[in-house]
Amino acid sequence: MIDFKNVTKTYKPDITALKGISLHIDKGEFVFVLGPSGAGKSTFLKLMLREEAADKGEVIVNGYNLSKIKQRDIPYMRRTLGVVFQDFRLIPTMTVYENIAFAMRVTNIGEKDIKKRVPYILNLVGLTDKAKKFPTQLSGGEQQRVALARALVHSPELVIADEPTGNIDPELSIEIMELLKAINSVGTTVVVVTHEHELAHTYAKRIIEIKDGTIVLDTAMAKAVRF
Amino acid sequence: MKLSNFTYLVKQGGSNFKENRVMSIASIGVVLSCLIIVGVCGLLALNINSFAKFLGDQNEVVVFLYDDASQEQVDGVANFIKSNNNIASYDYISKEDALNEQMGYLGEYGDLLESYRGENNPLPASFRCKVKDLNLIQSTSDQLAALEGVELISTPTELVGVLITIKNATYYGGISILAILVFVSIVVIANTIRLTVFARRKEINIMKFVGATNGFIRLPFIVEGVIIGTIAALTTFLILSGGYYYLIQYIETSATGWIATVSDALIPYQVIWPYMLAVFLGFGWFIGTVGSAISMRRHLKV
Repeated sequence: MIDFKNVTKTYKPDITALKGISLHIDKGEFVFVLGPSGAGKSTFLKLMLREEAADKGEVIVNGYNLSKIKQRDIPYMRRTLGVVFQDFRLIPTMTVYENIAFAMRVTNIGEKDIKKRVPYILNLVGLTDKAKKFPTQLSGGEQQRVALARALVHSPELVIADEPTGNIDPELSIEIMELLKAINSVGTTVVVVTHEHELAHTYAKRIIEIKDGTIVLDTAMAKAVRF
Repeated sequence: MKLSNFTYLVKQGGSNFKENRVMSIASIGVVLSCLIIVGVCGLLALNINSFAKFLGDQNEVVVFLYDDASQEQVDGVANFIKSNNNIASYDYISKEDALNEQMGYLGEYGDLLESYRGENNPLPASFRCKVKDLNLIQSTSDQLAALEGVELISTPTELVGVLITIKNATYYGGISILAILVFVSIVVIANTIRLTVFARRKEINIMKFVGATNGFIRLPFIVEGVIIGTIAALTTFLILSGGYYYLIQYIETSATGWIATVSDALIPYQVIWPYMLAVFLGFGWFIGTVGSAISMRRHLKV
C-alpha cells in the first residue's frame, strides 16, 4: 500500500527534511504518523501526495512508484486516495453538497452517480440536514466532516488525514476519530498525521514517530522486536 | 469526458465570465480594438492587392517585331512566349490588325489611314502578352528582348514597380501590425483570466488534490477566454462588415470617372463577409485560448 525505501528529501540550501527513512504500511492498517513541528511530517505527507518528489529513494503509494510517475499520471494516482486537511480546504462559494459532488465531477463521474452517492456519504458523516449550507455557516467540526465526506466520496483505498483534529474542539475530535475508525473497520487504510501524542496513544494503533527527519519509533517494529 | 461534466465545466466558464464582468468587458474592449485595427489593415491590404492585380491585368508587355523578321523568327518568338511560365496569355497582332485597330480608334475618320494599307503600313506586328507575376516582369521582358526578330519591348515597369512597392508595404506592414496586436490581445486576456485564476487558486489546488487532470481544470478558463474572444470577434464583424458594405455601396453608386473604374477592382461585400467572419472568429478563439492557457501555467504545477 505505502512503501518508503531509504527516502531522503532536502530543501535548498541545506535543510534535510527526511533522512533516508524506510517504512511499510499494509492494506487495512490504521497508522498515526507522529512528530513535533519541523520533524518532517509535512514533507512525508507531500511525498505521499506527490506534491513533491523525493531526492533519493523510492516512494510507492497504491501501486504507483512516485519517484518514476509521469506528470500526467499523478491525477489518477491521487484518485486512489482521499485526503483530509487540517484547514479543511473547502470551497467557500459552494454548498456542502456541491463541495462533495465537486470531488466526484473532477474524477469524471456522471451526474446520475453523483446524485446517488453524495446523499449517502452525507448521511454517513451525519450532515444530511446541512447539505444546502455553505462552509462558513458550519462549525469547525462540521467542516471537518464535510472534508472527510469529500475524501471518502469516491471510495478510496487509502485515506490520509493531516492534523484532522488540529482546528476543532476536543469533543469533536473524538467524533472525527470515531469516523476514521469506522472507515478503517471496512478495510480502508487510514494514515493520520499529527503532532498530538495523546491522540495517537488513546487509540492504541500503530504509531510511527518522526523526529529530525528520521523514524525514531515504529510500534509495529517495536512489537516485532519484543516478540 | 462525460457530457454532464463537460456542460458543468462550460457553465463554470460562463459564470467566471459573469463574476469577473468588469475585467471581461475591459478585455473585450481591448481585443475588439485590436481586431478592428487588424481588420481594417487586412481589408485595406486585400483591396490594394486586388487593385494591383486589376491594374496589372490592364498592363501588357508588348513585343514589337522587325518588319523584316522572317517567319522562322516570328515562330521562334511565339514558341518562346507559349513555353514561358510567366506569360498567362498572348495575342498576336499582325501589321494589318494594328492598322485596323488604329483606324478603329479614329472612328469615322479611320478611312484617313486607308492609304497606309499594305506595303505602306508603318505599324509593326506585335505580341501582346499578359504577365502572371508582376515581380518577374522585368526579367521576362529582358528575355523577350534578346530574341531574334524582336525590335522593341514595351513594358510598364515604372507602374509595376510602384504597385509592387505598395503591395509589399501593405503586406509586411500588415503582418507586423498584426503580430503586435495579437501579442497585446493575448497579454490582456491572459491578465484578465489570471485574475480569475488567482481568485480561484485555492479551488484549483483542491481540484489537484482530489485528482483533477490539468485539462479538466483548464477547461472553464479556456471557455472564459473563448467567450471574450467570440464576443469581441462578432462585434468586430458587425462593425467592419457593416462599414465595408456601406462604403462599397457608396463608392459604387456615387463614383464617377476613374474612381468608378477603380471601384470594379474592390472586393465585393458578398464575397468577403464569410471570410471576415471566419478570420475574426478564428483570431478571437486563438487569442482567447492562448491567453487563458498562458495564465494557467503557473497554478497547475502542484
